[in-house]
Amino acid sequence: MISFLNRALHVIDVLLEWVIVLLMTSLVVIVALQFVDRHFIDTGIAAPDQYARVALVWLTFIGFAVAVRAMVNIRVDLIDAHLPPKVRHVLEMAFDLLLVVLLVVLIPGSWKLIVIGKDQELLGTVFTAAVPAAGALIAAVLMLLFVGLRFVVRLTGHELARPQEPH
Amino acid sequence: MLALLFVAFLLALLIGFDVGFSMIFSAWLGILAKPGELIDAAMMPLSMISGVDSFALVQVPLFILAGELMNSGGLTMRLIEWAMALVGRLKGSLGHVSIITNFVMAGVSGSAVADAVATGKPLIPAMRKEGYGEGFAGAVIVAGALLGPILPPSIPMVVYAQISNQSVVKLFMAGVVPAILLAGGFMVICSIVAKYRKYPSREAADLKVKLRATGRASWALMMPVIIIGGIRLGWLTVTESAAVAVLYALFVCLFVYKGITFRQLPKLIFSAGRSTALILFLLAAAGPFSWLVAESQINQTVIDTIQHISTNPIVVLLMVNVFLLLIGCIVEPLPAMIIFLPLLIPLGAEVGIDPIQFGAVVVLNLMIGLMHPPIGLLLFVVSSVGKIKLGPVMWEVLPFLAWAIIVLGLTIVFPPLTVWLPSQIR
Repeated sequence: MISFLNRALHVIDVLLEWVIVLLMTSLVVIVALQFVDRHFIDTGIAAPDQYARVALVWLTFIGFAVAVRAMVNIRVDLIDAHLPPKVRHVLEMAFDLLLVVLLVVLIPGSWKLIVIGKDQELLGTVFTAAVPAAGALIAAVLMLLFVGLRFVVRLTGHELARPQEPH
Repeated sequence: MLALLFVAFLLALLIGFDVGFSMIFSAWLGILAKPGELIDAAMMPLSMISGVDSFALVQVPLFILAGELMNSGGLTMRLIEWAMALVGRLKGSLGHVSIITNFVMAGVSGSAVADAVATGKPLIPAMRKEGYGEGFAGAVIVAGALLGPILPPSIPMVVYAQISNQSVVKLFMAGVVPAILLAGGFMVICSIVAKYRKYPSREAADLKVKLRATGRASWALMMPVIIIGGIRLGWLTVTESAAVAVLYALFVCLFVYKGITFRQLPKLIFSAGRSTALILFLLAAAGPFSWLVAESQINQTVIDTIQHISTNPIVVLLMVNVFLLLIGCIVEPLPAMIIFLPLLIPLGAEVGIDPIQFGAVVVLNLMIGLMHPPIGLLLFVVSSVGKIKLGPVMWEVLPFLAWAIIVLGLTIVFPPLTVWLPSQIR
């Protein structure tokens, strides 16, 4: 079961890695096109800045979900570095549980934003205001999946494999 | 009640819960505790999205990517060779090389940690080989890397500009004079220590060697010129300059230095993207947290308390800096900025401190947190990269830390050090 979960998570890791690469690349291309548009030729994109903002919102939330999965999110480890391993383990379980609670709170709110935003056009783009909200929702669902699985697997006394580090 | 929630936030933070989610957690408790009509469920995600939905922030991932490419693409060794040709004849030359290399690299990457890794890897073993103490070898890399986020392009300055609604170009310029002062002082410290401990020097390089080294490093040296020159001449906006920096770095690293291959690119881009998300998620989480700060009126309490002690801008700045130096002992610089700036910026405005000076001082102060024990991140980074003990590095970094605090004091007492250069920009 654990090895199946690890394999399934590996597929998601690879997929998310490419999503991040795509979002970063799109940011470079959009901003470079804006420069070209201002100085050289009309690229025909009415609001490149709006597209860049949407990509940035997606990058922030999906990228953070990836960081949570790899457990590289920013924490102050001033106290827990000095705690005995057992206490640290209990704390980590408590943190994961709290994270699950907060994500459960955030998901309905994000869904509501999508419902409200689906009829609001983002000026100069083909998107509606639901698109950036969808980034937040997908990230929250991904985090819930990662943290929830980690929590359950830890309850059984096992650990999930972490994704490969980029360097 | 809301003040208690602020305490709950600090507690969550200190016991090691995720910094961003600590802010979200306390904001959520604040919403639950608020009497009267229940706040809409969409408020939290909406304020989180608003926190990062800004075109000005697009430069953050782009500058991080440009730095990542240049650091992986062979820039560091060219700069080290160039710095060696320039200052190799000085006593303790590798210390000076570290400072100069970091000074130039600061104009490319803007990340102290990336610079410490890039320069620490080749220079710490080289210094050890030439008989430098392990503590000094690590400390001089820490000091050099500190320049990264102070000189433009600087990610903390971009974050400050976003929070305070100030010009990022002016903030970039505000860091230049303090960075020059820091670098100058660090080199003097290197000279004194090298003379006292009889650290070696190299043979003076002749003009031909210097020119050849400059030629080899010229692609890297051009990067800050393109960024700053492009902005100053009005050809590029700051965000466009970041995209141009990425394209330039790609060209140089793939085709000139050939330090990276196309196959390595996705990993580098992914790494930069994830680093960006870690920073920007803090800004997103600060959205609902700012609501809590505003609701609890903590900022008004802080303003009233400090104004009760003094309304003199210099005294207020000194108090703010002592507070931030203490905060820097327990919280990393960027989270500290995002947590405390909503409290401190109104205070600065209230007593009439120039917001550009305030920004430069706050960034400089919090970056000093990267080098001071017990949690100075750079100390751990160099200790790990150079495989050296942490204790000697913490000890040897003290003279550099003392100079950094003196420079901080100077920027507080003499505002022109930070506001003169920005005032030249129209």
